[in-house]
Amino acid sequence: MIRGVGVATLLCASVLEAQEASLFLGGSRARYADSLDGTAAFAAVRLTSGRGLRAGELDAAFSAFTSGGWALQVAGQTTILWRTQRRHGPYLGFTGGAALNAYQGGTPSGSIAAGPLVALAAGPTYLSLGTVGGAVRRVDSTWSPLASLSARWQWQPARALSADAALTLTGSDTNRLADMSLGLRFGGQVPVRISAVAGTRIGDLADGPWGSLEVVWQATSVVSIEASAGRFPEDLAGFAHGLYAQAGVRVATRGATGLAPPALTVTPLDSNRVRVALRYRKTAHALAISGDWNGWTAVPLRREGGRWIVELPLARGVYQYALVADGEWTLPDGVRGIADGFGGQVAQLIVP
Amino acid sequence: MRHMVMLAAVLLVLRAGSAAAQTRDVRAELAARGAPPDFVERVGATVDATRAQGLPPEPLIDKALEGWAKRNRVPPERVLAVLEQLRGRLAEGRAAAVRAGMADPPGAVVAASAEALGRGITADEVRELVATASDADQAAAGLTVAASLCAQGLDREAAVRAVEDTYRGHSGSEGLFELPSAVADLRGRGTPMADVARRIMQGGGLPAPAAGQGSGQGRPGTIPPGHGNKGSGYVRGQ
Repeated sequence: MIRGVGVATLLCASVLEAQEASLFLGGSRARYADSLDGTAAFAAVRLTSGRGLRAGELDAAFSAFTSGGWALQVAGQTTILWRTQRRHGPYLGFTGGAALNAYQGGTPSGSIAAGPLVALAAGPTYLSLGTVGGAVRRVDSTWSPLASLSARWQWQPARALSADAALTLTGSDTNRLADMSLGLRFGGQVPVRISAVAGTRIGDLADGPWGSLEVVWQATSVVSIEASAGRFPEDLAGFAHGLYAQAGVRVATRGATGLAPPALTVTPLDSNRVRVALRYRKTAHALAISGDWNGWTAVPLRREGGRWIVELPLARGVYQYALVADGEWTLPDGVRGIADGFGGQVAQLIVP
Repeated sequence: MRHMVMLAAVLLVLRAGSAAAQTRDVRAELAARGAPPDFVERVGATVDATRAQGLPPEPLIDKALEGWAKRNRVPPERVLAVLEQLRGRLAEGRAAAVRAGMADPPGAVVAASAEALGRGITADEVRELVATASDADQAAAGLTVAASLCAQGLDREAAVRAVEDTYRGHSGSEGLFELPSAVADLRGRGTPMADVARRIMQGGGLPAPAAGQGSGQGRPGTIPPGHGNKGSGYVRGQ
């Protein structure tokens, strides 16, 4: 078991430089095909990294059953892509993953696999083809080789909407199966994300369609409420198919490169005029905004409630600015600063 | 249509700025703001030399005005040093645009190239963003947006790729100026930076790595093991 965790950790090395970490506390109920069911409370930790063309994720969940006993699950995956030719791609890369299941009184099981992939990008459409080889340790303590070939098509017609279709052919021991799935994800201007996936399997271990629906409500910048339910298929390690429902609360860090939620809002009034509202908590008798749209001439802001307000003659675009508070150069609370070249900082004013 | 109008307006502003730079008198602007004659003359000489090199003077004029506005904490020598650095970046940016195939890159492209270089984008990536753009206007907009994304904290490579994807996408050039707003919007809603990068990069078509894990091919990660076909799982009947 320890060796398995070590291999999983090494394979998911990219998440060691995790940019984000989150803790998920919740409960789940699962009913398996053989009429067993159970209710568990669980705590899960997720480390996520998404730097450049590298992406990685490591999940670890500890479940405590209402009937006593525990289960530990660790799963991770990492993908690294390189561009072969700058103008159109394709991207060549590597993907790998590992999973481990352990539970009180049982035999650890899991899988480990890695292999190359190629991806093509054309506008809002992506197509990727990958193959992995590895091994599965089954619940009866036997090991089986694993080989899989997967193709995935992804289409993102709008930033808030994406759809994908995937076909995965898998062979392990005597099992030969093909999984086909369709997914739809929505995350619009409201702080709610909805994703649904549905699939079917042909070949061995085929036991009807499977699917899931997940809803995530981003309650605050660091807290989200998540709920999901669905049907899962039998897996190669030997666990039966079943139904599940789970819900919980996730608390996430902002990560090393994250930004604080902006304390500045820009509202277009017409095509050439915006209203800027910002938060500045430090004591200031007079506050002005100065930027590159008018040769850094300071424009005074007025106080309205807890915000400072100004209207500026700006068209859509990206501008640089700073505040002048009682003669001192500064930035609004919680706004990311960028070096101004003079040893100080400015910030970006983005007019949508 | 609205986006096309807005893009046209933005490009018009870029062009107008470039044209205005040919006639802007930095000496008069600084003098009007009360700058001492010696400083005015040294800045004016630097701007003249920049113009003589065929480089756009507008970024230098803006930077000089910024430096003068911050005079309570920025000494004149520092302002002049920054102007020289910027002049160097403009030359580097023009060289990258020429390597990309533009014989005589417009001032807006050179200025945007310098801005991108100043935000950590490499000369090779600048050349690539110019080469993959459909025209000079799109190149200038793409470089500006890539620099803006980097300034927002997005990974450099992700920023370049997002701009290239937008070049290729059906949304065309008008989609470029949506990128910084999209990042700001996602961050404003508390989306982790890793997720922002992933969404901006549109997922990259990354396949699930291995059978038996990942979405749809087994239990979700937080559903504990049930009953193995040949073994004994933990979940008990309730």
